[in-house]
Amino acid sequence: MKRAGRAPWQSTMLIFSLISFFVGFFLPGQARVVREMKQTYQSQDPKDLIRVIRDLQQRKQDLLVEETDVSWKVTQYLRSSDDTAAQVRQLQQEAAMLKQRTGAVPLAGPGIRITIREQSSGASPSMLADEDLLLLLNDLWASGAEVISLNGIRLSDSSSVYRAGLNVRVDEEVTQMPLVVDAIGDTENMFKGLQIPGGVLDLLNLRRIGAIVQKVNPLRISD
Amino acid sequence: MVGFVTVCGLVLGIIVGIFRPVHIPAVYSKYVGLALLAGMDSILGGIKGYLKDTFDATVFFSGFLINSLVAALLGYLGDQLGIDLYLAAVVVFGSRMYQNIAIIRRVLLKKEA
Repeated sequence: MKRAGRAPWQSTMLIFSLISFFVGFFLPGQARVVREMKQTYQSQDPKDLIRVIRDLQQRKQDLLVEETDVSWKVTQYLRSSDDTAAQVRQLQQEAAMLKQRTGAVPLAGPGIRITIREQSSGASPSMLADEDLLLLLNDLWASGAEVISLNGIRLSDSSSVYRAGLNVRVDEEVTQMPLVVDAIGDTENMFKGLQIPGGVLDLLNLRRIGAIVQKVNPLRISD
Repeated sequence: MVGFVTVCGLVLGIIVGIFRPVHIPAVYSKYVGLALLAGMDSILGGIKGYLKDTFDATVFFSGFLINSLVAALLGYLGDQLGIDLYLAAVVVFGSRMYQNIAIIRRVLLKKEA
């Protein structure tokens, strides 16, 4: 077999090397472009891209709904926890107040002490009446007493106090004269309230019942 | 010898292409790929022709140019018509490359023998 149009050896090598060089020169650039395209969406089928976009949009919509829902729940939880904390604080305050009122806890603080003595000597002995005692106690409550005890017997909101013969009955307990009334609370207000002209002290004085009022700090009333 | 020159040219071109990369726009990368495939087919065909003493530089060079251009144009035309015509070029040039490699292998084995 004869060579058709055979070129000189050098020309053949030159043309082979040139074309090979040309092809090799473009190969890295082409490979780089293909590699970059694989990392992007440029080489993807438009139909696939449309589906991907739709899926992403749907996913975004779902996430927005979920985010709104979660935000609402978080807000509710926060509000609920705030409300709960406030309610707990209020309930604790109420419980503390109720414990004070019911005498469940001992208390100490500034207060006044009223010592009441009847005059048993003389032509006409004086006697403390139920109304006097109730008036005194109501005046104390009204002028800021938080806790009151009568000869160490602590009174509550529902306590009953009345004379029983020569004794004084406080709920189920019986005590005797002289009475020592301790009241913890707004000392100044209670003191002024008792000193009002025509008030309970004047009334007791009119009945010749001795009443000594002292400010005591601290005054302790047990439960 | 021609194989050695070809490999050297190819390697040198790749090295130059790595360090001095040519920028190929992404939209034309498919056509450039087809052209390179046609170019590689032409090189293998040239080697085969050289080994079989049928090498013609003019045919080789024109074949390289025309095949590369036609392959790229075929891909472009296919895109314009909505037909995957580039597959035809890929199949044709791919199979021809296989055939040329097989022939080169046989010729080299016969020469060794």
